[in-house]
Amino acid sequence: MRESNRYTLILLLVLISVSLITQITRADGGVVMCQRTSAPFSITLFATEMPLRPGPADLSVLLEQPDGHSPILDAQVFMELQHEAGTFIRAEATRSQARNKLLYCSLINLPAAGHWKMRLLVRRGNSSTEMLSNLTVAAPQPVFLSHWELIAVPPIIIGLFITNQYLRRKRIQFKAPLN
Amino acid sequence: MQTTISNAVFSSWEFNPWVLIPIVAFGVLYTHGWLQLHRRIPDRFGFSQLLAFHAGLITVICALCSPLDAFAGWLLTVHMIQHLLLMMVVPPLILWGAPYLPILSGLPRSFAINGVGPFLSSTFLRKVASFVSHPAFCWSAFISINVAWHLPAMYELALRSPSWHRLEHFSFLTTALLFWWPIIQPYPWVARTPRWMIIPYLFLADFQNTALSAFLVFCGRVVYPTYETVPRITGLTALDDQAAAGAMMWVASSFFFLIPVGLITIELLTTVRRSIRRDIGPIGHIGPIARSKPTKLDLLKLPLVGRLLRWPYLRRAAQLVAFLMALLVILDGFLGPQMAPMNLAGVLPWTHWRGLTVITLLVAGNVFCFACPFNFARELGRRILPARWSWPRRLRTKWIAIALLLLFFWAYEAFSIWDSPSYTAMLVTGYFVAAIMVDGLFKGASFCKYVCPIGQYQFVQSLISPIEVGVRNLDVCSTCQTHDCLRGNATQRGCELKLFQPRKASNMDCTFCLDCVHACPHENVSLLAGLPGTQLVKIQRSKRLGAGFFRRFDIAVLIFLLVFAAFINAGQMVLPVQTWEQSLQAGLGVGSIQPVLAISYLLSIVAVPALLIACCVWFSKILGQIRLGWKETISRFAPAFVPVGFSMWLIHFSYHLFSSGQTALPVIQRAALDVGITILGAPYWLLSSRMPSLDWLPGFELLLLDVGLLFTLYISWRIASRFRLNFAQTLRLNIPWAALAFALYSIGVWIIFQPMQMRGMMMMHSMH
Repeated sequence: MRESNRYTLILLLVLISVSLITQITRADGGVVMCQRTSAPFSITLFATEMPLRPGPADLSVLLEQPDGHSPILDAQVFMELQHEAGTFIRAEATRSQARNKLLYCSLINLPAAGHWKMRLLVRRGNSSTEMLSNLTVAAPQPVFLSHWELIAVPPIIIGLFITNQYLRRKRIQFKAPLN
Repeated sequence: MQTTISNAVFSSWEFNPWVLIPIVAFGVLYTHGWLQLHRRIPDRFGFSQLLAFHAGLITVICALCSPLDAFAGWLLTVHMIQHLLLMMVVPPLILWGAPYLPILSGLPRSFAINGVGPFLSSTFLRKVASFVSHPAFCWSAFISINVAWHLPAMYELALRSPSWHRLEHFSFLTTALLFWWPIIQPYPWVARTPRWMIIPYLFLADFQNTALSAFLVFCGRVVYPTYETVPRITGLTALDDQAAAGAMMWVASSFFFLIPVGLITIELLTTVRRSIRRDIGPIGHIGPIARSKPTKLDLLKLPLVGRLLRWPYLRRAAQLVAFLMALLVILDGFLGPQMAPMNLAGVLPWTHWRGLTVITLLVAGNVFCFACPFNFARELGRRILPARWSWPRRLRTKWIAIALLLLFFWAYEAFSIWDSPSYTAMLVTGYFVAAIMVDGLFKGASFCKYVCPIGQYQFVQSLISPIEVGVRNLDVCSTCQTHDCLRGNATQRGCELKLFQPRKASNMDCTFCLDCVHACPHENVSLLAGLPGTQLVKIQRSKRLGAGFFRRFDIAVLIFLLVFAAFINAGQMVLPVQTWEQSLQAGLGVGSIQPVLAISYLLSIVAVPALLIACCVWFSKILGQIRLGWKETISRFAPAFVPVGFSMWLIHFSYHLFSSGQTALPVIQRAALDVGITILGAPYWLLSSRMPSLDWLPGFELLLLDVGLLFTLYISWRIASRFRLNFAQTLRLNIPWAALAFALYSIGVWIIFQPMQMRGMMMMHSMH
């Protein structure tokens, strides 16, 4: 194999590998979970995908002025989640973690399915407010569904390889009488 | 505030690797191929093609990574712009770049010929391609997908689920590429319908587009309810937003449909049509692409690295460092605190050394044997002991090492060696004693070749390694009379493991000592780097290995032992296996876990593997109709299982390294404080109880296992192909071995997703 070809192949392998293992970590926005006006803010809570499941969950918040629908970008947002069994999680949602920079986002690892109580604390200057909400986290998906892309790779490649070998041999058999 | 909001909006980019990596890959391939084609046929592959293709790729990035994507869920207008880019802008640009030949030429030549070639020349697939690229199919696919995704239920599904949203974008892009195909007619595709047909083709598409967009503009209600629930940051109502999106779709799409109509009309009315396509001829007439002689990267010829590797004292220096570390492990193991996470002997060998060794095997080669501390001690021992006897001829096999490996794998769990610093120290000490005694009494590297269990593990796993010691030019060896690489000379000893370089085709039994490199008077032996795993492919091709390592039954048993041990060793870490062993102990009513461990080990590492392999031999003989002894069948197929075994070792050891790599610091701090060194500060024990976030690790491990399985199946296929059977027989011969590989893979997948026992840390279990 030529040097340049080898490096192309290595680059391709690396790129494919990285693309297969890299998760999209910041897919904030998504479905509106709840929307309340709690003076002096209008608060909208989003989740990337519904239903939520155990594992990393992308929760994001949009803060607006209640009257003018203009986003607020200089507040502090904290999320507190408590599971019915007692597990407690506290995280800060920040704009730097969000892809949509109008949102405050936090990537929270939800350890268990069930009912969670969520308390959202918002502070801006001297004013602050909180919003209470309930989250229902569905049972985890089977491994085969949550990692189906990686589990599907071998059968696809095997199928392609067997077809390739079949076609090659067929071509060789076809050419043989001429030789 | 307004400025801040607009800044926030315009900074909402995300360079998503799922989008970027394929685009970069295509960009690299296209450019690589375009450079070759531009030199040959610059009229066809000019700069406009290069620019158009890359502009198309950049537009994809703009559509999928820019604020357009971030705000598509809030504003239908923004979402519409995103879709228009994917359906109306990207496809014409990409197809203008005529990507078929550049991408094909950009692939590695052997892969293009042997991998892609059979598909491209398949009659059936050509018929499929011909059907798919027919204007009637292209038009129907584009229109159906466009209408289907604009149905409220489908559109809402895409808005709710990122996976469906990705599928929506993918289907838009692929069908739009098909739609634009007959219009652009990218070289070397030749149209099968008259050119004038494209005019009604475009008009009909515009008609559908007009109907759809008019519906969005005039229907008077919000068609997609999500847009009613999301915040209206622009002040535009959901209905106004929908009307604006419809108007944009109407005007912009019509523009993109009608411009080609005008251009094609002018083209048809022009009397002289340019037809360079026919002048140049079909693809096959382009001529052969230049190729050079296959070569490997010669590490000794690299400027700085080469000089360092040729330095005669490099090995001794590396061994000295490893030797001193081993001494520290022994001293701390005997004298330090008997709690594994606090002791050098509980952390360094089981977490760091194993993890780094296996990673080094993947990216380099048998570096452990190169820097072996036991070999260093053996050299010291030889100054006292005579080393005058030859190793008994009957023992010149791997059976002693196999027995020692079996003993070690059992003792590792039975005595929890990993959890006992003093046992670890005893093991390392015993290893030193054995190395000094064996090589102090016997000539050559008898310990490395016939006894050392670590060495055998390294030899087998280094078959995956990209680097091997090999000859630069076989012609030089054919004229060599002295064979210094094997016999040595007055200044440099030859290979102590009796590997003759011109006949050597893999890393098996090679300790990377580089004695042959220094001994060769022609400077014809070097460290050659290729792709990981190429040795396994090569040994299946090589005829000179017919009677070599890979026909030996002891080598096959060694390989299978290490393959099954990889899964059993990792399996012992997971909670369900431990729970099962405890319940078995309770069920049997025995006071100690030792009998249970002994029985389960005997079954899992000896009896079950032997039974499975026997079944594979039996079935492959029946299905493949081969006339080969059972020992030879096993020996032939054993190397195929090295990749899947290696991937499991890599998963297991790298898991410990990634989850507990940070634990070295507090232990080193503690050991330094014990001997009065205060410069490192007080031990930061928090590191030993806090595990880093490893959400990405299961995916990474699964990918490693996928690669291991596929490579195993590939090597197995190559082995079966050497029997020169027809396709169906080759496939049948492979079935039992492939089934065994799949069984191991399934066990590996199961292990990956189980709660793991932490080692070298102050906590017991961790969820993956």
